[in-house]
Amino acid sequence: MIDVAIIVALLIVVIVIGVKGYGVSRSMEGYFLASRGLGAWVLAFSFMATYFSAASFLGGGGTTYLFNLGFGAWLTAWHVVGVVLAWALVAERLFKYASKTGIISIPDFIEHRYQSRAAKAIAAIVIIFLFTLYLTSVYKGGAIIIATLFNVSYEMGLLILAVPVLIYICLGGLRAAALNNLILGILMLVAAILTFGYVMSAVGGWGAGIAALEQMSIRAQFGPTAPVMEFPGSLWLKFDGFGPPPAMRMGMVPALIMGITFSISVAQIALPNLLMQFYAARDMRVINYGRIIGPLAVGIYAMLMFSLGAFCHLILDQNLTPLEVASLLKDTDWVIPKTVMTLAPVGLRGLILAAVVAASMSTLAVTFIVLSAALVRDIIQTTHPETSEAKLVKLARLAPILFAIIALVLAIQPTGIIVEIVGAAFGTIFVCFVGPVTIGLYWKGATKAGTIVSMIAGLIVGLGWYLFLYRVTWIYPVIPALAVALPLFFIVSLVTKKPPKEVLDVLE
Amino acid sequence: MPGLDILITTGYVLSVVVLVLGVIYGVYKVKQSRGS
Repeated sequence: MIDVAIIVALLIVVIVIGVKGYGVSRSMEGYFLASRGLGAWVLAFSFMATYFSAASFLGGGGTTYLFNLGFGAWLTAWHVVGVVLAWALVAERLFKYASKTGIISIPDFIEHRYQSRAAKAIAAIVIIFLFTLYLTSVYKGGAIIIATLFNVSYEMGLLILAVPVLIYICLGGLRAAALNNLILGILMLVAAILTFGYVMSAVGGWGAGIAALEQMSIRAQFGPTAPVMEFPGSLWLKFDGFGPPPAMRMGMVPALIMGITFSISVAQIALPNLLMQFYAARDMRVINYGRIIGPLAVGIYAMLMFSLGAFCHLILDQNLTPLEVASLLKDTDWVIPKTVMTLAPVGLRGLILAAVVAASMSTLAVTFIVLSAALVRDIIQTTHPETSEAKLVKLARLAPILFAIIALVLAIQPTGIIVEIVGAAFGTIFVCFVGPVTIGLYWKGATKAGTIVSMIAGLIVGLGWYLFLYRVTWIYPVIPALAVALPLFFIVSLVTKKPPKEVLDVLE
Repeated sequence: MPGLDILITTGYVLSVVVLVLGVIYGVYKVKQSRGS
């Protein structure tokens, strides 16, 4: 009961903050960019909380129950590389560009930088398509926890998660989302500290846990009539050790680990729902302080969470049948919730699991804003420039409801483990925008033709590879998508006409 | 790290080193902006 009360209190707090944000969200700039008034702590934690969805807690935390610890080590390493690059290389340039030009969305940037409405329209369509898919996985992660805790159906869990976020986003825009993300991000860090602490104290610390894992045998039965298989725990301590059985048979575990961890993590330098928040910084001081707070928040969370799954074998397996162990190996999203339910006392258990709900809400909120901007600012306002600002703001408030309904319908369909769906959507968005936005901030030779070709190629190869070739080759789709989209971006840019000098001067 | 193979240890070491360097860069930029 206390656990449920904690989550209900959290939902009430976020709605109240949404109501308070209503006053500043009455213009387009107010709604989408919090009137360009975010401070360093709010911006840095909003970046972290937007980026880390429930997948970071459930998928990221539990995946080393299946994969060896190399997955946790490199997921952490690439996350730190990604966040440091985002704050060191992208934040300042994008903030200054937005300040000079008054742009509001990422497709706005693409239109201004490349002087092309076609490129802007394609960017907006890519955002709408991929982020709507991505939302379904975010909904799933949060709804699983709510359904378990409240003892309600999964569908009801989806609604409990969707309604408060929609209320505070529709009312308060980015101001409400970012303020809530500060609170939710701190809650996520506290939950990560508690979860790490409980797991480590249960296994006797990091070193003792590694030693115990090395001595352990993990017994799994992949089907009621299948034989019980026994795997030495030492396989979780080798980079080419345990992983998905088909990838193990092909010797592709190390390549798969590197592909997934790189794709999910380095995406931070090009995801529109993260980069758009840099526009909302109050001034350059905010970006400078964010360079310290942002990497620390992401890095500490990653270090605490991403290696826990392997240690959960020592906590959970003794009370599970080999059939149940195999079931957890197939869907590792349940590893961390089951471990928390086993180790943490009532109250703290609710606090930790509330972080999963928080992680879902914070990601949903800013992603709704980016989707709303893509539809209202980039498509409706571009095609109907005569529409009044008051009407556009009203549409911007209503757009999240439309996207929520689509994502909820998709989320009711059965899907695979969270981390992989997020990886596919994340990775493809990253591939589509890394050339046009991240490289385009530095390379004056980038052109609209290069941008359009790169976005379309990234989308087709990223999703096509995931759907048809990923399970055959066990090469993660971002790698071939990048291998096609980036060379095309450079080659086509080199042979096509550059934007005028006055536009390129803005980049300096 | 004892018990872990070199590629796993490299990942953890890289995490710490890059995070420390990133924070040092952030502190440098803050100090630079105060000086200007």
